[in-house]
Amino acid sequence: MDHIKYQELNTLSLYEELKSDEQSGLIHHLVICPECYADFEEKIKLKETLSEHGLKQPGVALLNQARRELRIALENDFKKNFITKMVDSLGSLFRSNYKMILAGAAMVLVGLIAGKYIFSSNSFYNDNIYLKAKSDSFLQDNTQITNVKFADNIAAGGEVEFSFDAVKPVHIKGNINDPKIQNILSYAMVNGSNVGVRLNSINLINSNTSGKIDKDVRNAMINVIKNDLNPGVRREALKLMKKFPYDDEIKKTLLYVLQFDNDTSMRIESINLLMDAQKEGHSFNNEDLNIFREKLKQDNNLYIQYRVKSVLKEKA
Amino acid sequence: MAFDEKELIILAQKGDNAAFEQLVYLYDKKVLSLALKYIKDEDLAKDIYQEVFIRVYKGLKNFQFKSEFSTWLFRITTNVCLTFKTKKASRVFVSVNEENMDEEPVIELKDESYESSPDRIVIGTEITRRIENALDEFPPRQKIVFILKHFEGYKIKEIAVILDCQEGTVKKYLFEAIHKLRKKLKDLN
Repeated sequence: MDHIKYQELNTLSLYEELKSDEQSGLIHHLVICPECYADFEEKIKLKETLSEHGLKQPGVALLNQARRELRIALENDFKKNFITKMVDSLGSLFRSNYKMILAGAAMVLVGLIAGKYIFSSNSFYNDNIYLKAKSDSFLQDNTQITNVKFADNIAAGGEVEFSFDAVKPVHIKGNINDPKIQNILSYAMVNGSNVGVRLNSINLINSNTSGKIDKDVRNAMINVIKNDLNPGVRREALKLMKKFPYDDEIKKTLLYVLQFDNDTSMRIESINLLMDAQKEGHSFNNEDLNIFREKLKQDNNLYIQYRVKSVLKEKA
Repeated sequence: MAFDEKELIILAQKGDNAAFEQLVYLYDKKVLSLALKYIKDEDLAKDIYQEVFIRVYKGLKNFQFKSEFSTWLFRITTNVCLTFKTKKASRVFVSVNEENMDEEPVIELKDESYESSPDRIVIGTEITRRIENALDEFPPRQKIVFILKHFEGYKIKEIAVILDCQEGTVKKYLFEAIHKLRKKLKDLN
């Protein structure tokens, strides 16, 4: 075998890709060949240099940010696909010459289902919050009519058929303890395009004094804590979470924040709440403890490190 | 309740988004790591990450367990990295059409933000920069092979499956990469 071949084996040997007989053959050759031995030594040094000054590793903050952006992209894609499918289905219904009445009924059904999806929460991962509209009369004062489409140009026996979009401004005055009001606020908490709207919604729900908070509000709150891009909004949602009794889902949310939130105050609040729960007698399983151990290695914040150590010490 | 990978895949195939999320979390750090090492820019690495998992989400229904899920995932990742480079290169010149030929001159766009960013200056050492520069001169597939082998620790056999090529091809890329790096970084050793 020539030197080039042995020098290739040198490379493979460094990356532990040689079988034992190949490895022995190489060692025998290196003992008697200074040229290949020098090549081997140089490659060891090169490998050490490359490993020592390796390429950039992604940090937790970058990973967390990538995850958030992925959620948003998937949610948008999911909604877009849903609407496309609905439009296609409707198109094929018309093309297949079914009676117009069937098409009309389908259109209503599609409208209802599409409405549910379009106006539902932005949550991609199973946090289904949506505004439950009341089926009041559709034509009232201030109703804006747009997008009128005639189903049939020929009016037989005086009957006409057409569709339109009815958009109506709504002003609601009610008690914060009313689940319907909470439902609307939780929709705004998740979907409000303006940070102020989302903050106000959370603060209003937080002002609830009855202690009865709707399940949808809880889901919306968890969604906001995990996904909202604004740290102020996430912080307020975390404060709201204190109103809920501690359970497994809340624990998971707090651990998620501790692991992935790039805002230090969020992580501090989260570890504090987890420690409070521990003091109240709630325990952590092995999976949770592994998260704490990992956190101890990764988080640069000394306070968080100290608190995490305390959790682990308490457990031991 | 913790599910194993196969259970998560089956649930995700049935439309369980929480299962898909768990599946993403099993591998996404590695995907992001490979993307960042390949592209060197955090924003672009996030773009690659997103593109990979959107493709996985869309293609998961057709995944039939004929290969390991991780192999399939990293095949998508390497494909996105390789084509992403092409997309990026295609942005070098502003496109012109007949209508705006008279308006603006063709502008050459070169992304220098990474090289000049303060983060890069602080974090990167001179040696790291030289290693990165050396890797940048590799052809894209050779660069991917070297990153997968040296920095991500994959076996040659696995890389061949991911890249859908012969083991011999992977070895050839690796030998050439080592040879080039030795020349480029000779004074460091």
